[in-house]
Amino acid sequence: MANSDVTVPRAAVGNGDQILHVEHATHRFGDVVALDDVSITARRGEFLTLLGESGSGKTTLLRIVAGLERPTRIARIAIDGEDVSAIPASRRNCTTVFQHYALFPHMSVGQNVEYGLRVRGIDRDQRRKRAEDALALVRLLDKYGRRVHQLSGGERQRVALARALVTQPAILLLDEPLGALDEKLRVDMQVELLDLHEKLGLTFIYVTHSQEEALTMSDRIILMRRGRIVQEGPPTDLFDRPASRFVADFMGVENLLEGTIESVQNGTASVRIGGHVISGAWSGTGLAERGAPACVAVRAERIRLAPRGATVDEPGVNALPCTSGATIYKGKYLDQTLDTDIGPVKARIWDRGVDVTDLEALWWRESECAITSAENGAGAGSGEEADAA
Amino acid sequence: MRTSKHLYFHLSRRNFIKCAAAGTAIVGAPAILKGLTRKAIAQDENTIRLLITGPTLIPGDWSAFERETGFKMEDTVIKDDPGIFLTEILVNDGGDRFDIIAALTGAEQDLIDGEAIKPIETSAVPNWGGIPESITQMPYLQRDLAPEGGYVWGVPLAMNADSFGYLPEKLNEPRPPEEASWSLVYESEKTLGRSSTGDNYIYLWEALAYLKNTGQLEVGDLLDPSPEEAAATADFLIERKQAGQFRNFWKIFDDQVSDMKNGEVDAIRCWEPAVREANKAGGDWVYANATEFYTKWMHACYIPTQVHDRGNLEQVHTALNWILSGSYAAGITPLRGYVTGRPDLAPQYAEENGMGPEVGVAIDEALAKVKFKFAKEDFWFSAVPSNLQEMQAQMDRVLNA
Amino acid sequence: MAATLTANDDVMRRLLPRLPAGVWSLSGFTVVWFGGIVIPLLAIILVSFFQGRGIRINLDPTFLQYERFFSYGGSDLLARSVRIAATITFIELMIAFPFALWLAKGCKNNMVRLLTFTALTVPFFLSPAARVIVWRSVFGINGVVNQALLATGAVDEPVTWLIFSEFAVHFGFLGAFFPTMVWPIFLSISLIDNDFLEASNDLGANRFRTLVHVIFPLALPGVVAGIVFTFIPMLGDTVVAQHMGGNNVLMLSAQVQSLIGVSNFLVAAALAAVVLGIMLAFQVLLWAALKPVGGLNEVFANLRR
Repeated sequence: MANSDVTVPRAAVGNGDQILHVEHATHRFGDVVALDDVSITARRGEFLTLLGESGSGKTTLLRIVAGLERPTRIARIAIDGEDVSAIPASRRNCTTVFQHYALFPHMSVGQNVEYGLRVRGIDRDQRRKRAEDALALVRLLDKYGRRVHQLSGGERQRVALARALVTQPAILLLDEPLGALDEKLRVDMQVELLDLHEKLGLTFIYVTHSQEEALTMSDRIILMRRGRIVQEGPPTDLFDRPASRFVADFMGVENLLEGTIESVQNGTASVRIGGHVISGAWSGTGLAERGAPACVAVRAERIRLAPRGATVDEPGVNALPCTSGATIYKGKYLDQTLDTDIGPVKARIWDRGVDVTDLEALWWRESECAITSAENGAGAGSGEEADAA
Repeated sequence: MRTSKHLYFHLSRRNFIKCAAAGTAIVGAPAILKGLTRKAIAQDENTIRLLITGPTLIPGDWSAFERETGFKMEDTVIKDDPGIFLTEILVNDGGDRFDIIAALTGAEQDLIDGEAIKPIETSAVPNWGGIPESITQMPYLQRDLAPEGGYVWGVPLAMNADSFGYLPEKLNEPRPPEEASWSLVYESEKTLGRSSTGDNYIYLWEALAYLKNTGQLEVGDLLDPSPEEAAATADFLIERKQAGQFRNFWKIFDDQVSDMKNGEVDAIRCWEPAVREANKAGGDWVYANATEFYTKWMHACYIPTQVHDRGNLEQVHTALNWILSGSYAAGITPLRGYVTGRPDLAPQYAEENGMGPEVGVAIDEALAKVKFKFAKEDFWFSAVPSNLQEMQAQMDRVLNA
Repeated sequence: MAATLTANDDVMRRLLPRLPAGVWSLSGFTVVWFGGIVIPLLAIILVSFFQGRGIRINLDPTFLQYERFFSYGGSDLLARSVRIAATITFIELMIAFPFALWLAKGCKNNMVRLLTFTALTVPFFLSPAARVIVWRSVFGINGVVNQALLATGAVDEPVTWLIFSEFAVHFGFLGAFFPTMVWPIFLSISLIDNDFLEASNDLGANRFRTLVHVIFPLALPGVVAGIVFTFIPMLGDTVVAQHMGGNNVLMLSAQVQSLIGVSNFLVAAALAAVVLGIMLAFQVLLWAALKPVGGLNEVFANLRR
């Protein structure tokens, strides 16, 4: 295969099937703390997403794995069993797909893709063959001789992908690669990426700020905020069982109602809000404690409406009397705000025929809402939360 | 009578436009844009604008002039290369912008041919009458300025007999007034690698004078060298240069002074004021009384034709009179060692104005110079010899070698 | 590119019907440039083929002026001038490129960068002669350098070839034209997106390879500009050679000055034509040298995104 000065030799010691270990990484830019004692692992072949808003540290973490950034402090970083803390980016067995592609403008598409092989000293014919294979993989073989500026955004993205893949890295790092594409193209590319992932069996570490993207593509999501991990787990975990108000909010839960825990029982918590008691599955961090602040997170799709006159008295259901508020047309559904005595609640109305003018109450199943820690919750690492909003 | 060197005809804007129809693109754009690029110097009744090619001939300041004539003097210095100077006057209509032109003698015929200057009425310049005979009778003044029938083409500004500077102690050579030889500059073992001379045709000419006076070359008319003589001189200089005689060839006055002050040379063909400057820094330079020859020159003042049209002729005459007065002499002679047109007026002026005895000393030296140095036959040089271009070309050959 | 037509454009269009549309929008500039620069240049070249003295020109075509030029030692002059200019340009490139690279990419401290800019620009507030003359007292026989050498016993006698020699002329040029080489290269390199460098690194290229494969090709426009802005003005320089060389090292443009000084305009024109010829030859050389990387167009086209 490639020159030995580039490939990271396989470790003799078995590491289970963990291909990446990052332990206690801290990074500062001047006074700003970008990463605060973060540790992650990645399993061989998984599609891991680092999710967060800007400033959360996800890109910094990615760059530290790539070797493009040397962390201020780190206990251990190992790729495929070998400690790479002293190894520069050029010799680590991972490649990056950059947000703005970073395709070399003075080289043709083919030359761009060949670049990684060229600097490894691979001879011309071999290079050409492998580059063509990589381009075929992203269905751009016919653009081999074109110049970069002649390609569209989506095509450039695929070339960047091919370029990163041709060197057969152990880990592929993707830094918000779909951010610059329009919506339709983005969705198509997501599917392509998933295909590639399955076909190649490589470990992907993907950075994005879009929770929808993360949900679509990941095997596992690590949600970060201000340099700390706030929740990690498979997509369903973050979607259905957010650990804190922040996570719920980030994952798109429309209705977040804050109150105090009144009672706890077998993983179910009951929260008093105003004059109501609302129950749901406890998904917050740590154990639920009586008297602690908590947040009820219920998605708008789960809200049902009871017209006047109907009674809501099934067991395992939370109900709130309400009146209609604003309606927003969203094409596929109507975004209906309902006013209750503990605040507005959003519901989605899929059926046009539903009459919302005179309602008795709104209700949802206890099993379909989560009770989370209030505010941001404690992070996955150590340390107190000290932030206000 | 002089022969015209025919380098120029008067190519003024007027003439050009006449020629334009028959003309070609050869002088197209430059002349068209010429008018746009001329600097406008404001003309004011009581200001005299002077164009001068010798910066060392300007007195310390013009305050004496302004006091005594009531006019302001604005001087503009231009490089003394004949080409540049003549272009400025004849092609760029220098006369439009200047009231007096002061330059090295020898260019008169070109200026006359180009209708750039008009003769000066000597009766209008009272001090002209009193110029000592020893000066007016210099053959060269007669030749270049051609006083005739109450008119003269130009009025002497200052003159000198140039030789070279050297360090008598270091070279074990006699001090003036004992004579020293030009060989110190050109051929001496004592100054190998530590002598210098100038970089243009004038200094080639001097080398020729040296060769003539040391019998190394037969020369026809030293005042008008032939191309062959120039070539032979160049060969001599090239030989000396390749033997390592010359440290460098200077271009401007400041170069001379810096060579002397920095100790780069022991003997240097230079202008007399340079020796004074160098000694200010504590040197022991003397200006030679040369064995073989002196390079004699005169700067004269001319009146451009345009002055007559402008109507400030009277002011110009007054200015010229001042130049021929004791005031200028007392100002310039002690400062530079040059001889002016009326050195005789200086002592009286000095006394009247309470100037020190150094003026008298300087004047006496100047008069002695006229007597001895100027009396030596060789050589009085003119700014525009017939074979000017060949001579410069030969000098360039020397510099290139 | 839509060209906005004006009355001026219409006139041009009638006179020169076959030029492409883009030219019309530059018509004003083109006319001025043509009239003010190209025509006088052509006039000079034309004039050099005639005879005459001073400004009297006889319209008999001849190569006489060129013969004269070469008989005055012209071929030596040419050879020397081109040799020195080429040598210095080469040395400048070798020094300026790493320096520009450091300044653009290596220097993180803004204060240092600012000071360096200032140091590069401030000398230009002095006249060229003033900048150069200072070296005489440093390199002269009694100058600082010699004093130091004598004091440390490195030499027995003062070194004479530090000034008024080719060494001095080279040295003078080196300092004078350093900024002209650095600036274009610096600009070119700073325009290189850091992303490219990171991508190169990430793909396995060490610093040297990144320099060769990524930085240098993308900096090529600046390098070309630097070479052009250094070599050609150096041919036209009158100050350094005279003051540092003491007329011992004659260069082309000084020769033009001395010819004009004696009204030898025709030979000066011939010399100017020769210099123009050198510059043209230089451009051809440059064009040929860039062919392997796709030609001059390509080099600048690489800036397209």
